[in-house]
Amino acid sequence: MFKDLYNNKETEVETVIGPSVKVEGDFASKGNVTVEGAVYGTIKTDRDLKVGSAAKISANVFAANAFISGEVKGNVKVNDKLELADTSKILGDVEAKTLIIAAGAILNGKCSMCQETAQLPLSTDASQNGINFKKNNNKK
Amino acid sequence: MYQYFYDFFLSEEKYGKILALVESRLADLGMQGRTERLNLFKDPGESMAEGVKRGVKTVVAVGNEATLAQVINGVKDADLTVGFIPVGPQNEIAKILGIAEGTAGCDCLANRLTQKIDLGEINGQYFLSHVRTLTEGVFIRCGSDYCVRPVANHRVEIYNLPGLGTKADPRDGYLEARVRPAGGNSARATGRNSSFFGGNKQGESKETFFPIKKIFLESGGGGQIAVDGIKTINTPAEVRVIPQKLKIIVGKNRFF
Repeated sequence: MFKDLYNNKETEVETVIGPSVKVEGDFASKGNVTVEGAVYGTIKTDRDLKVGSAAKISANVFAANAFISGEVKGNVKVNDKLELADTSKILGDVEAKTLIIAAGAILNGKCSMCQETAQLPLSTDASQNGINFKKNNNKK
Repeated sequence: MYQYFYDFFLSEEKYGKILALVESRLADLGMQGRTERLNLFKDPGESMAEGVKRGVKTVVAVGNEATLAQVINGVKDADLTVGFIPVGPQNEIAKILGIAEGTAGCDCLANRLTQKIDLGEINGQYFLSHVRTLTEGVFIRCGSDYCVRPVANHRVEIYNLPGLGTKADPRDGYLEARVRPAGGNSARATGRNSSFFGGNKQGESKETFFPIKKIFLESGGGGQIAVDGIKTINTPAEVRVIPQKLKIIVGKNRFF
């Protein structure tokens, strides 16, 4: 996905936080974000996030998709696909629908991938089944 | 009806010939109008207000970027279209707008290809192209949300127009904030050659850029900001975009 994203000339990276700056606070964007520098606080985007190998993020991260090859101290919550490169270092919990971890990546934190499963009405299904079962039992 | 604003530097003898050619071309095109001479103490807004009462619909800056900036700031809230005939030095913005110099600029005016574009505003003053910090230690603050602090030897630049190494679009309702190495690929620092219009791809990867609507430029004190490369103001400064503020006549070779 990210190879396609960053090789596609038509796809614009709208925000780049380069190594020449330090961002402090809650940084929010509606477009693709690339981080090569330092961020302290929160970083949130409605689209894709790329964290470069030299980037240092001390922040909670929210994105639609994320490709991380740098350091993140904080929780990472991704709606769809999270890819951790071999140089990545995550000190925090991660949450994603799809998770790809390269050999060499460091992940110290809880990993949650049951977002969709948790949203499924399992208990409702179970109770419905139960009700049906009871009803059937009653019929019997 | 047209109203022309000639910059005071055009009274120099060396511009006599080109001005005669421009006026002749405007007469050929049937685009004559009232002519005003600008100077540092004259507010073009007053002349424009009188012109509007007489039926003026288009005001034309004849001169350079400073002339254009003066005319744009004079328009204020009047329903006027702005034209530009570049004459003399310091006319990079004309290239971005796709307007050729001298008599060819008259033809652009006659073609009347009009675009409604955003303007930047810094401390109540409009800017068309960009603002750039001249001193170190100036940082960006976006309300109470976040701060962007450049490391040493880097400067903050805010763009409305593309070119000058940026892809800013003056029709998108955003300005583009950039943090660049001081003396790097900025508008004035690289000199007036064609290289800065194409950008510096190697340097670009080290740059920071993001879209903004409203930010503050602050410093510990003594920060200076160049507005369109013409005026200098001090920090702190509020910078914001005024979407679709300016109706301007452009050329077909414009950068956006």
